[in-house]
Amino acid sequence: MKKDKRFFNISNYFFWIVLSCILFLLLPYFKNGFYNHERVDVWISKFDTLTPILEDENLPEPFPEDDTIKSNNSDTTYYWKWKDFDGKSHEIPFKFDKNGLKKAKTFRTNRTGNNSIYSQLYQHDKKYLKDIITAMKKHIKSEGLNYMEALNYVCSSVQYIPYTLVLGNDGKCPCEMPFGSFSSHCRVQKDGRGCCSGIAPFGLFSPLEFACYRTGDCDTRALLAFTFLKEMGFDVAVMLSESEWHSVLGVSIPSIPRSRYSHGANFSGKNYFLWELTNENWRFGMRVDGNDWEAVLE
Amino acid sequence: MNLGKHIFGLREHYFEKVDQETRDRQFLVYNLLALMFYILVICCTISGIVYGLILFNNWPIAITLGLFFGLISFLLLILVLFLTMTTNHEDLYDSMTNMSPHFEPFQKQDLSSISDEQALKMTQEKKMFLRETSHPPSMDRFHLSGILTSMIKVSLILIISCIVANAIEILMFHDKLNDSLKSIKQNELIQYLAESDRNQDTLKKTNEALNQKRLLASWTVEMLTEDKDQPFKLINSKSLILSLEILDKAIGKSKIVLDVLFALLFLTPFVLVKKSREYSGGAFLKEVALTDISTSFYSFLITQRTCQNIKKKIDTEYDYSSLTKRRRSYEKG
Repeated sequence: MKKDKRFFNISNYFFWIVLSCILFLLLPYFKNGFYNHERVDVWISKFDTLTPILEDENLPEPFPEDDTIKSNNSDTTYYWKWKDFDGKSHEIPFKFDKNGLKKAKTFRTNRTGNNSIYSQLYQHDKKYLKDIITAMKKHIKSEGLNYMEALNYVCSSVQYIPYTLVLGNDGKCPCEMPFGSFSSHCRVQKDGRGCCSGIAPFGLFSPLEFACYRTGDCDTRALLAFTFLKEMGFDVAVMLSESEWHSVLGVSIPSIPRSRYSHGANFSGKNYFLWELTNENWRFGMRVDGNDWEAVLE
Repeated sequence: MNLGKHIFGLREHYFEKVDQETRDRQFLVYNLLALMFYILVICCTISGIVYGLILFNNWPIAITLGLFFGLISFLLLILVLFLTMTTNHEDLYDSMTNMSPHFEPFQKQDLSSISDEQALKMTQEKKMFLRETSHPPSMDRFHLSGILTSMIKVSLILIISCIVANAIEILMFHDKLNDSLKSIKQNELIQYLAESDRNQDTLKKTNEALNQKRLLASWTVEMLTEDKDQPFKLINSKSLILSLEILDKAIGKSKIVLDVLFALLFLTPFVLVKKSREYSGGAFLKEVALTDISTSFYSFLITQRTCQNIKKKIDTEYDYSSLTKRRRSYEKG
């Protein structure tokens, strides 16, 4: 009987203790200790447009598994170096098969199909730039950059590289252009006077070639920036103006009124704000000349 | 205050043959159980009101919903308690489930002439005999079906406790939760995504994952936007699921601790009734069982008496020769 009473008493006390604990936790001091608003920020971060990006393991392999070239060749390592708009240095090593650069060039010159050259080069080269895209994603996440800071971070890497004029088969270096004089050196020059000719077709390097040689003019830069940002999930486009013979990056931000900044549109009327990438002084929102800007790749 | 009277039917007359100490103890244990039960029902009612306020943002509807949920919980909890509350006095338990052994000696006896008082006396003797001879067994009864029924009962209690825990947690942290919901609503990224989802210019979307986030952001903003004709009352959200998710994220593992505390709170009365011999081996259930048995026994005696009298009447008063006459006339015809 004593045992029965003891069991009842213990259970009874247990109930009232548990109830007291719950009531105790209602007190503001303890209640506040439990609640951590920072954890909600983690929940909010899942809306980050950077996360819809292909995860590392989902990015396509540079070559199919049965590629015999890959098995016979080691990777080549390049470094993507730049200083961002705040003057902070960054360096990202990126590897690809040493035939990758050759393949990118061959694809650029011999490509077939009905899609635009921009689309084909983007689709072909994005796999080679996996390392850079992944590293940038990691940096953006680790630093907790917001949407515009992330855009600045990526675009600064392209803008940091001095301008190099790239001409097709119909152009010759050195040359005089309405926007400056260019030497005959097909390499990146600090003064931005480098000039490459015979880059068929249309005087456009592929994204990988630009990342390796660092020689690129307006459309080559816009295409590389587009490749980086598109793979990260940003709503961007390569914009082209026939009247200006120029190309820039287009960024879609529907919450900003269209009239505020220079903008262009795609065939269905979707608006993109223009971002000049030809040198490191340009920022998002700065005025870009021309009123016939069209999205050629989005 | 006799709280157990209205829930468990704990009345003085059951304890006429029980000593004072046992009686007081039984009153104590049943009153405490009733108090626990009332507290749980009050918790259920409060949680019903909380859910009502979140879903309808209307006090009268919330109170109605709270009372409704309280009533449902009252019935379910009392069902679980009553199903668990059986006497473990071996003879009484057997007698309750099968009374044939008690009836058998009287099947062949002539009960046609016994009076009501005599039947009552026989019943009382039987009751006294059972009271004296039945004792709680040293071991609890075990049957395989008991595991299944216990599982169902525990599951039911855990479901109720889970519902109540979430509601009380929302109530506990509602001010902090509202701050979080406000920051979510004002978050630039979510607003941008929601805006881009509404914008017709961006119908052409190629990034599936991004589209999902736009959709989710749009839904989130919509859920956190107050209707003009229905202002928020408790939580600044129209979505219960969203509120619970944010609460879950904000309090993290502490939520598990609170959920477990509520589960323990709800399970304790059940375990108490199931395992404590103060209930199954107690005087109250024994007396209730004896009362039920004696009622059945008395009814049996009275029924037997009536049956035997009717049989006698048929034997002595019924004209069987009329049947024979009718048959003869049929054969001739």
